[in-house]
Amino acid sequence: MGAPVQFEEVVREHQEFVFRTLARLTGAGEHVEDLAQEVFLRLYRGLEGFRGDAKLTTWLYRITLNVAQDEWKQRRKEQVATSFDDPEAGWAERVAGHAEDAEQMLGRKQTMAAVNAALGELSEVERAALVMFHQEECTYEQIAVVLKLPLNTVRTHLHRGRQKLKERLKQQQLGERRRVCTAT
Amino acid sequence: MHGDINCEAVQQAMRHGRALTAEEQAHVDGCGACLSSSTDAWLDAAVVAALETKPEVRVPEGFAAKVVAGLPETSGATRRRERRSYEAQWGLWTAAALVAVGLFAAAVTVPAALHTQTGMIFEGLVAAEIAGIALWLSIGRVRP
Repeated sequence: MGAPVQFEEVVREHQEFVFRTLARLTGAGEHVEDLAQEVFLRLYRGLEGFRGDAKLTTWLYRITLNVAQDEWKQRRKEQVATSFDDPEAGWAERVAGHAEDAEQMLGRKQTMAAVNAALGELSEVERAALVMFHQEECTYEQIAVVLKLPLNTVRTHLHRGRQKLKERLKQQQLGERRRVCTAT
Repeated sequence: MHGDINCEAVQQAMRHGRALTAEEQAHVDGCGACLSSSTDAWLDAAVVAALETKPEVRVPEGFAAKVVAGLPETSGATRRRERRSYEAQWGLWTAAALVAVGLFAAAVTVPAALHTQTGMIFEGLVAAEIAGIALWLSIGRVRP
């Protein structure tokens, strides 16, 4: 591989997944396009050394996670706050059924925003494992290969990550109730 | 067990996402253990649902073409240049090793060879050959 025409095909085939994963791992925003470009640039640079002993998608996952991790490191240095809830994305509304009333929809949207925000507080490996497993529907084995971790460690990270998200959500619910009680 | 309702059965139903009957729901509202389990089941479901919902992404129009336009120079040319540089590097090292071997061999054999004309011719040929190889491997290959 190396011909730009062929590479353009590769980009087209995988661009949605790369954008989606980066948006989940680093929060939605204009930076995602720059990061996605970096992913494909790294992929292109590495293609000459690619011997096909690993699947291209596995390799792409690894690059995407590395780029997301670099972004996090950069943000930690710059202390940039991240918004994981893109008001324009509208994905929360998509999930809500048409029959839901406004209150339910708002509740669901808040829940999703809370989960998304809590994702940003997890460790990099927990976040990556959760996104790969739930969003991208990867198997434990695939996650283990990409993250270079034993299978049981992947399971532990997934369990721990979900528990942390649940805890965060529970705290948020309690906070909401307290606010309502104080108001009334 | 509270009344006719089995807490374990209700909790299992909630874990599996089965809709509760009105009677079961009334029980859950008044039973601390079931209420806690209900919250837990709801949180589990909410977290998984949120994670499984793929964020809506908008890939900008012409993104793939933009990526390709921003790629470094064609990899074929890069590869050729890298290969030439790699060969030149090896050529220089090989030439240096051959010269060292040639000098060592000359030092050992020249004193004996100088006694005969055939020996001198042979030594000359070996030295010329080594010099030629060294030239070919280094100068001939070190091109930008």
